[in-house]
Amino acid sequence: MLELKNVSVEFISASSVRAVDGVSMVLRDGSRTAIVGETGSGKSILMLSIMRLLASNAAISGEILLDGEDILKADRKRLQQIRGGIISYVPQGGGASMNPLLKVGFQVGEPLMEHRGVSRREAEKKSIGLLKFFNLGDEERLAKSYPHTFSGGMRQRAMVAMGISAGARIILADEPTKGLDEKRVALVTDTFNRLKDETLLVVTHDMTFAQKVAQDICVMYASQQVEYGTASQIIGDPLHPYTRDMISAMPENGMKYDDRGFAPSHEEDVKGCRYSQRCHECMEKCSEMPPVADVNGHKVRCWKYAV
Amino acid sequence: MLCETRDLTKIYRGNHGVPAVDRACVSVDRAETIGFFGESGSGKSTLGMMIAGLTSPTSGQILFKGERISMRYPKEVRRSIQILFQHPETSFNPQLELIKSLTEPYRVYGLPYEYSEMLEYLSGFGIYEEHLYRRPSQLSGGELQRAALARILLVRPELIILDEPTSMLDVITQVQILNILKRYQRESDAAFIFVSHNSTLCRSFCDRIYSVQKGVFTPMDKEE
Repeated sequence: MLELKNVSVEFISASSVRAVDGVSMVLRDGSRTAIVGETGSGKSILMLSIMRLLASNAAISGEILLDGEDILKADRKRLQQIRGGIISYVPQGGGASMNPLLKVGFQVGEPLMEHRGVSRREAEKKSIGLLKFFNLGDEERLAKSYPHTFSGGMRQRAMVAMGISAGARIILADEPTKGLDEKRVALVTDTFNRLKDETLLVVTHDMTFAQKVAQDICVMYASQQVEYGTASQIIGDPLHPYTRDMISAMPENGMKYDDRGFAPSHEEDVKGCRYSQRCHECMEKCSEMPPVADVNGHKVRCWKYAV
Repeated sequence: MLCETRDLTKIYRGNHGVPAVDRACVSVDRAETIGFFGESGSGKSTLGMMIAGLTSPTSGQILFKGERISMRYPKEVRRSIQILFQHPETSFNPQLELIKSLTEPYRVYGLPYEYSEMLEYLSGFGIYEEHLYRRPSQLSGGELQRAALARILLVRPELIILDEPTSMLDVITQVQILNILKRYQRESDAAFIFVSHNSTLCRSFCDRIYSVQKGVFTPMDKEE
């Protein structure tokens, strides 16, 4: 189980910027969670902080508990065991994350050599099996090919294969469908749906994809978690005005959105609700920061639901 | 017709003579939005790039306002045809602060420049003074795409090629960008070529759609 307790990330420079502000989440074994929100809302930073892959000027506070063990307190050696061995991370834009000089089969099998002490020959053999598991087609040839010969969608799926090759139980994927066409999004969705036992956390801006792969959805806005619940709660009965606006702005729902400006920047010091400037249900109270309300297990940060 | 192509073909070197764009005949009129809908690799972006003058055709013609234009576009044509790319982070020079990139059109086309007026103009795109002194890596994808759009509209183009302009963005930012474009079209009668792999989006944004398969452009019924 992976549990995030009040996680905040602040980048310390001339002016410090709070990129993630007090996010709490519980990822039970085998569960699937999606973090949705607009660019710059802090979703990728949150994911990188779980992997402890942020630059040295990032101060992470709160607790990130892996079966009770705080990852934020783990030393270098332990982090090496965790990364790829227990939690694996599939970065954004699969292509740029693969080594262009190494064959795909070797790269997919590399975590096995690194974490499980498997020989190179054995690892490369296993990587073909993994590519077959995700149904990439003509896997023997693909394993001997270089990444540039792969399409964006294929690279993304090969990256997921790489992610689970050493038996990591928690998979973190950052925008796995970004920029892909519908057919390829369907293939990536299929890739994730083939994972049965692994715990999955995906960051995405694509609500339709989130709905297809996740049981739970966390909505982020301007570095805060504004709503957190099951996918059916969030999509079927959204509470937060931002989530509602997002759902009605989907192309499937007619792209209805009454434009009320843009998200506040990280430097802007918004005292109250961060969505208040754009919210059509804004009240006087919204000039103060709303607490997180619990509506039948569905968490929402909005004054409308505060008791 | 504002712009049309006649049997425009592109064969990339090393591609065994297989055309990326195969004798495409498309046309777009003023105040009209046409869509190129197809999978990635179908050739839709290549045709967009050729019309924008960024890739040379292997054969065929491009006509702009009835006149044939060749590879070396005159400056006025270059100004009239603009392109908005899919990846906002690569649309800007990574070494320059945003302000340097945004003031470039003023220098290139000799537009009257006034700092406060520019700020006012940019605020319509959600770009404020604090963004101007950052480098592209310090801005979000949505902010960069809005800045890229602001830079393009500054020169008042007559034809804009929109190459998957919102596929990297969340749904709200997508609607905002499309709304800004629609508003500009109403004011200026500009024509748009919208390149997309999203059928729902193509249908709602475009007046006419060409379906693109293996480099072949075929007019498509919107209701299909």
